[in-house]
Amino acid sequence: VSRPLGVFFPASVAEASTMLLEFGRTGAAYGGGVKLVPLIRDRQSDVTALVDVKALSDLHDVAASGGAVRIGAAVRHAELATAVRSRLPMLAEAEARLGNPRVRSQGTIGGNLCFADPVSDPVAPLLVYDAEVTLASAAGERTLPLPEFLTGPFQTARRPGEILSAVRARALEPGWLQSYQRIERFGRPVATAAVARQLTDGVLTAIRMAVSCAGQRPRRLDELERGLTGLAAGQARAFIAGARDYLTRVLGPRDDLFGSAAYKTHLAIVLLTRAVDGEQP
Amino acid sequence: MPGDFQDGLAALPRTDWLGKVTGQAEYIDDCPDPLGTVFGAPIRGTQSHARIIRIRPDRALALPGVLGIFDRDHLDGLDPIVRIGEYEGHTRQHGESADQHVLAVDKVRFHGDLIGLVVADDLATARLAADLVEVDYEPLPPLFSYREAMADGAPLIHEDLPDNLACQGSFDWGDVDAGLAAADLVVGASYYTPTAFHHPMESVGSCLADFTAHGVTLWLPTNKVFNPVQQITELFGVAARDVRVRTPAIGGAFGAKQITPAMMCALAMSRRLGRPVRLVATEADSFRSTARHACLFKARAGLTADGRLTALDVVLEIDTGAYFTGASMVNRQICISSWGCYRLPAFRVRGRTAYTSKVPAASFRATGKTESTFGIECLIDRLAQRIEMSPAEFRRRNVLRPGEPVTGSWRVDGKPTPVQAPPMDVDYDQLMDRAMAGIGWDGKPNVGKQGGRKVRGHGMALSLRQGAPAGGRTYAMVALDQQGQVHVYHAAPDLGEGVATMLRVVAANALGLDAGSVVVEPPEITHGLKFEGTAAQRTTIHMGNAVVSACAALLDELRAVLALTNGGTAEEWTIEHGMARRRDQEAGQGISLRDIARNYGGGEGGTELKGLGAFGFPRTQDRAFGGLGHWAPGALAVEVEVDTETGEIDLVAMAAAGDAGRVLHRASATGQLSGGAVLGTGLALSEEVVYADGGLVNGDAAGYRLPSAANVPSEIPVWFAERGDGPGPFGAKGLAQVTVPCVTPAVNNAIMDAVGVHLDSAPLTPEKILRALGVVR
Repeated sequence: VSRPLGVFFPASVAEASTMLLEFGRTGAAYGGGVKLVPLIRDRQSDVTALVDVKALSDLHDVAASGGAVRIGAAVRHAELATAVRSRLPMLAEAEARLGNPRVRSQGTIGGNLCFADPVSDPVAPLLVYDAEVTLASAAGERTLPLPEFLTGPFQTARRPGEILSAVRARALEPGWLQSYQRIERFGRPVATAAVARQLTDGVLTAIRMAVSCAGQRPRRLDELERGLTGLAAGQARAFIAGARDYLTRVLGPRDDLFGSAAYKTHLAIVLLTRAVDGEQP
Repeated sequence: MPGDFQDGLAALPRTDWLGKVTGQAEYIDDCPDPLGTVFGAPIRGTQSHARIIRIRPDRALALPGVLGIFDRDHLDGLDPIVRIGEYEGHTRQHGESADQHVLAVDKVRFHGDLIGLVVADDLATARLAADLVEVDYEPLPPLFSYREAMADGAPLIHEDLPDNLACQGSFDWGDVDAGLAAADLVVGASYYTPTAFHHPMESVGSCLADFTAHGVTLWLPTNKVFNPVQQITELFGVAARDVRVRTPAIGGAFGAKQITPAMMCALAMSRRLGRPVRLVATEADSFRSTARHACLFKARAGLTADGRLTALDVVLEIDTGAYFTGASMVNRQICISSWGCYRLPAFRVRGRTAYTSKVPAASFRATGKTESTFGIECLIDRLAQRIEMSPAEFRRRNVLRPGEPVTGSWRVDGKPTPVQAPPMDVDYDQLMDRAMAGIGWDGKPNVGKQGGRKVRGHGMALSLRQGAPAGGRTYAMVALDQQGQVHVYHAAPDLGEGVATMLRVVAANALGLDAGSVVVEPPEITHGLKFEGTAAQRTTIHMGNAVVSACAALLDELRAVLALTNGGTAEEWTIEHGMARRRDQEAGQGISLRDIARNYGGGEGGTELKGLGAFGFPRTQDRAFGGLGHWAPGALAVEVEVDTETGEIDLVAMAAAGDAGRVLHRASATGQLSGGAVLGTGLALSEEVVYADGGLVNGDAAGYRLPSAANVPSEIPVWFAERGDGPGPFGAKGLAQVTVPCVTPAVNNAIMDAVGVHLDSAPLTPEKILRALGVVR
């Protein structure tokens, strides 16, 4: 009657998948629980069965092979902040500044991505690192690029019975300059930007950029990347400032408690400019 | 008063520190459940303004474990028209003094108005059941601002009234129109203070209600233990002496910890079921219990060419929310503090308060002063800017000097009324100097002198409160037990600011004892030791003096007992530092307090020797300030760094100065100034209860952001004036509220010093700065 909550400890991904299929809408994969548990507590979720994916041993590793870094979905933010500092410095920076110590020491990267909150710290760096996610079930595995996985605010391409088991990011070769920028209001990010660029003789020869938290859609900014490539670094500021309409369209900012859409687009421009200027926080 | 003040006592640890840092302090949610305890969950309206057509509890009542519902259809013969939130005798504009009832009968008037209470065997079931109660509404248009509420043809929130005006009042002296006409320069400005929530660390609304044939016991964290008694006796027809209100440890209050309608319903359900009923408040309950008034402060000030004020004319538009609660009290408090602390030949303020469809607002630490101080202290900087004078110099020129009278005569609502305020007893120059020195500011303006993206600015604000207003008679009792331990009995809850510590210091000093000899008992109402409540900077003065008086009475009693047991007359005995001596007796032959008690009372469980003390100010005819013993000032200076690209505001440094009269306990006094500054920081930079799309949008910590330690300077230097000239014990004054109202204007003034623009509404957000600078449109 008082809706007891069950926690289940699967021995394998296949078993976890079976459990989730069985529980249907009343079941959920459970990592750190930092988003899910408050929802259940406030009776905004129908979940009564938690399938503890932390119990799965192979979801805890961070492993590098070649240029790729495979991050197990149950790796906690605080662990990630140190584990990928040299290979994925912008992700490490994002993870180190995310939330607060309690959230960082409890929340997991997989939980963060599956919740698909448009206000997500790790997403902008992961987009720049061309991240893919691995979705596992009793039927096997499939891999999706992160942009295809994040289908909308609080929506993902995860199918019933699927578990996000790992995130795979591609480290950038030496020669890429990286900068992560974040603006927060009392602990909550209002805009974040990740920019990696290559400079040759003062010219931007390659650039990747992504913005998160500012709008409904965290995005790689392909059009802006193409426009900036080949420009002298000194011309970047004006070019980005001219991209206001593009950013508004792509990011989908909304008026909310943390500011108007216009303000958030402005912050995106400021952060991208700072990152392209190579500012470090 | 025997003995001098022992400075060592001011440095003792607080009485509550160990329990609080180890987690052993028992707050309401920690109190063990008495046998048979059941749990209540409130049913709250989901609309901001709607007629209640039907309440359908069938699904809830069918849930196993549900024990019943208290709503308009299940009243057990009780009349729910009991006034909740009566505030110190102030009356509603159109008659009745307060209009929030135990539960909503005809309409819901704010998002979360109480419809009833479901009780079940356990908390989770009760909450689930509350969700299952279906309510049919006829929606009515909600009104979320003074302007909407006062517009022609606005729907009525209280249909027994002709309009949505809750109350109004005006105060003036001198000839304002002539003063403005004679000015060389008239400057107008307006500043809006939004609705805010107190947000104490502990939720608002938890209680343990036990209604038995032998009496009523209500455990709740509250600052006013006698307040609920009248409401309980009125609803249930029980005798006041059968009602016992008890307080556990309290996790902050700031005005929010009053009896709530849901607690009255919990008592009603306890009465029906014959079992204790516990309420466990959630954040949603907290945000729907009380609020701070929103207020638009509009003013015009006249100046001479050399920077002297000639007149000030203020109009206030105040939003009190759905019920009267503190409306007239707050209307008056904002009005009488709208002149700041300045020399004004003429002053006029007109305040009007409207009902809106928001959570009813009431007392909030520095009630009314946050609204008025934001207005007047920003206006002062704007005036200084207009005549190109430094704000510090402008204040020095216009602030009241020590010994200067505030005004010759008030007119209250046009009628002359006596002023019984003392002349200014505060040296603001000194307070300003100390606050400015605390942040290393020389008073020179910064604006326009800095390049680059990040610019810094300094700002200050002054506050003034009428000190320790009348609050009826205050009683305290001091008792000496058979072990020689002194107990202080009283009814002054410690909200976290250190009331118990203060009373211990006062009693130890008054008796000439060390602090270890004195135990301050928890607040208790069954002794009938009346106290208006820990509020309004009253406690140190009223309860402190009552304890001093009780200590003197105890010493008299001990002398009388010594005469009975050891001979002589009472007058022949003196008691100093815990030892009694008879006149002409050899030194070293004194009698200890313990022996005095034992010689008379005989052993454990024997007589406690008692002294009863009382304190009160004379009745006053002053309808403006309500009588007061002193002025309570504050000065606060800040340095901010503004990022002109993002609008981010970094509070680099903050320092405060106040007038303690005498510091009775240094850590507590420091906490009052610096803690007030931190509370003020949230109000300045972040806090606003937002209503949109028909309801309350951010009634939780995710949407209502509070500052953390990272958002305030790591040190907040404070300084106290200590001239021993206050009306409290050992010359103390009250100082609980003097820094809270300063922060918003000081930060706004610092923003103007940094980037040249003032914001006209709180909170002072990065986006508002960028809009004022024209960076974001």
